[in-house]
Amino acid sequence: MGINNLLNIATSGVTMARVAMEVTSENIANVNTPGYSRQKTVFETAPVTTANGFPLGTGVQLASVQRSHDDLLQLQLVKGNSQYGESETKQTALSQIEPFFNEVTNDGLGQAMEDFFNSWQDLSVTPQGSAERQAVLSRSQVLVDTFHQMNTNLNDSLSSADRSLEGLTADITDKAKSIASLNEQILQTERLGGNANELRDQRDYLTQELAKKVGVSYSEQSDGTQTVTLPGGEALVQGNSFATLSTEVDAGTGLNKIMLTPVGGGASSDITATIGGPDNSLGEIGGTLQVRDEIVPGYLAKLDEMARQLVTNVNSQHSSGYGLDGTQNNFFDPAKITSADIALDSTLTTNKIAAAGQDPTTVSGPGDNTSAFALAQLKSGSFSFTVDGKTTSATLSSFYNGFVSSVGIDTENAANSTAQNDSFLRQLNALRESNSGVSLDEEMANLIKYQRAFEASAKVINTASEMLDTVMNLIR
Amino acid sequence: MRITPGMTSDNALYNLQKGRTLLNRLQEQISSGSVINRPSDDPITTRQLLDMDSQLDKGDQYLSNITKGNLSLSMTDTALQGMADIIAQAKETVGTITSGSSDQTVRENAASQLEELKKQLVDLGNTQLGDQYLFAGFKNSTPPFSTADNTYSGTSDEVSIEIDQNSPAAITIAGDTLLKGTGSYGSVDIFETLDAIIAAINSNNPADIQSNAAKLDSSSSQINNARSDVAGRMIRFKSAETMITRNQATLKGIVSDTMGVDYIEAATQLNKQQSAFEAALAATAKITQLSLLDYL
Repeated sequence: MGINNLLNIATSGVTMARVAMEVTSENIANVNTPGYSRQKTVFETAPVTTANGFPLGTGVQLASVQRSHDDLLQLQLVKGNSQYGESETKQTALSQIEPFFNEVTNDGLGQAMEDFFNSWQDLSVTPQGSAERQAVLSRSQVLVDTFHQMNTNLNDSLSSADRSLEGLTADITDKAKSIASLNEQILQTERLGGNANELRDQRDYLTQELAKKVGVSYSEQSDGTQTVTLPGGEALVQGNSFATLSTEVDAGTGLNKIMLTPVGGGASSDITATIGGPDNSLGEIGGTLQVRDEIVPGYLAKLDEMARQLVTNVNSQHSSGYGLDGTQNNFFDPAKITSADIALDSTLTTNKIAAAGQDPTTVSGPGDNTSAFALAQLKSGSFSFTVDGKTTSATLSSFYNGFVSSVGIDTENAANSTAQNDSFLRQLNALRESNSGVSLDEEMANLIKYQRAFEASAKVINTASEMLDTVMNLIR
Repeated sequence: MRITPGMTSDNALYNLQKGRTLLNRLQEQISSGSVINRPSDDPITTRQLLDMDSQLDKGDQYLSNITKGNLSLSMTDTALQGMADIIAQAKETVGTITSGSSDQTVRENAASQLEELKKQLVDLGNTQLGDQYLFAGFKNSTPPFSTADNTYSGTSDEVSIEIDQNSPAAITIAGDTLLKGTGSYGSVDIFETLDAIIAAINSNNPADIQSNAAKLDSSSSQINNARSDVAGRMIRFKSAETMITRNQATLKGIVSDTMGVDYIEAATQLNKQQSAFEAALAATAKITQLSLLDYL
């Protein structure tokens, strides 16, 4: 009533101006916090009372502190992060595998094969030459060693992809735990009527980071908690509890399986087949599984097929020929037909290398080069390569060149895909920043605005106080 | 659309990164001299390049085979020339005694000359290239002819090597087709003929001398047939060599066109990109400094 009213109104003005400045200073302090959405105060007039018969206001009150947030953008950001995580992991793995196949600048398996067949050509010109025979042995050993090395390199990539799954699952579990605890905090805060803007920001940001690792989907429940679901439909976070992801080595393959201990405990189950999303296309975990289970095994299969065709066809020609000692032998060990174990026959010596088409000790002579000639021509011979159920007919070097080219195509595609997803993610982030990001210019202007409001309301208090003094001094 | 300083700096950094990536790629191309430095730079062209490299490698191997083959053929040719000379000398000697002679010394001289010539022929038949006997077919680690008897202990095979794709070529001549008349050059067994002439001279049998002298004539053409065969082969080798060398040159030209950097274009691009990058850096510096705080 009376001057008290004036004081109350002015006090509410001062208080609200201070609150607004607190929110502004919160925005300014968090200008570089990732995931932070700017907040703004929404004021409304305090309830109206009737005084002297007509309605009069009672000042200002805080309606809410809103954060600028777009749910659709969050959804797209989560999806975008999953796609980016997958393509980036693939690209990193492939760019580490590509150098093994870089026949453009380095001499690798392609050159080793050329040298091998060239040594047979040299032998066909001088079949009994000991230098030429030694050269055949050395070049073959180099070829065998190169196969081994390629195999080791590819297997190393495979095991490092496999090992990274352990870190990934630990990280995912960790984030799930954080989201669960944030859920709890948000629930409590909002139940008490407070606003949990910062907590929600943190939860949104964590969800984006989680989505980069695994292609999750999420939905908000009516009580404010967020349920997070894995691509296979299993719940990762529900309310304040979370599921645990771990790895377990499969006894058969020696590779890691991804195990899920569901929310609320229980037996763990193998979710390796679904956790990467459809075709393992989501999240870093999807990318890693693709590399480990499809891409590298595909390359190994081609390499093994090359080794098998080499051993089989060379042995077939070689064992029909005769060495200088009149014996017929295999050139490569016929039991070892993968790129990991391909080896020269253990009994092979320079004299047993078959250059002759007939027994040189009895029928023809040491100058018989017909078998070496035929073997050298295997270089241009067409073999039937069967990989993954598909059969192609090509020469050995043509098949390998195609192989190198396909590695190049895979790498190029992964790089393009990553660039596209990166660009898409950037645009989304820019939109989000535009919507929710803090602009220091804006906050500075607001600061001045609220400071003036504060000063003005304070002035009103001052004036009211002087008025009160005047009233007091009326009675003396 | 609302723009915040955060967006501006993010954008600027992204574009600077892109500019640097482009600069890096140009620099790599210029310093390596090739447009393609890894399969993923251009996978399809990589395939073509690798296939061409394969072909170049094959060509080099064929050239090496041709060089070694030429060695064998030249030695063979020289030996054949020697043989032709010996037959000519033998014919001369026989010519002096074709109607026999009553003088023992004359007969003995002629016979011993022919013996010597026959030994030289055997030596030539045992010509070696390195430690391989050229005229022994496949049994080339033992001499095919001996002065003790007229048997041939080699095989009738000719050594074949590959001088181009699916093009085998023989680089030796089998001693039996050459000197014992078992092949297509002729059908005269030259050693038997010489022995017969020597025996005929010793027994002063002009009829035999004359009939074998006729065979000696045929053996001359036998050797000559072999010589022209070898000469033909050497011409074939020469033309294969020329063709392959020309192909190699063309292929190398294509490879360098496909893979090689056009330095002028690359340098121009580099300059252009550098100026663009410098402009971006300057703009970024200017804009990120602007803020309301400077004016309050």
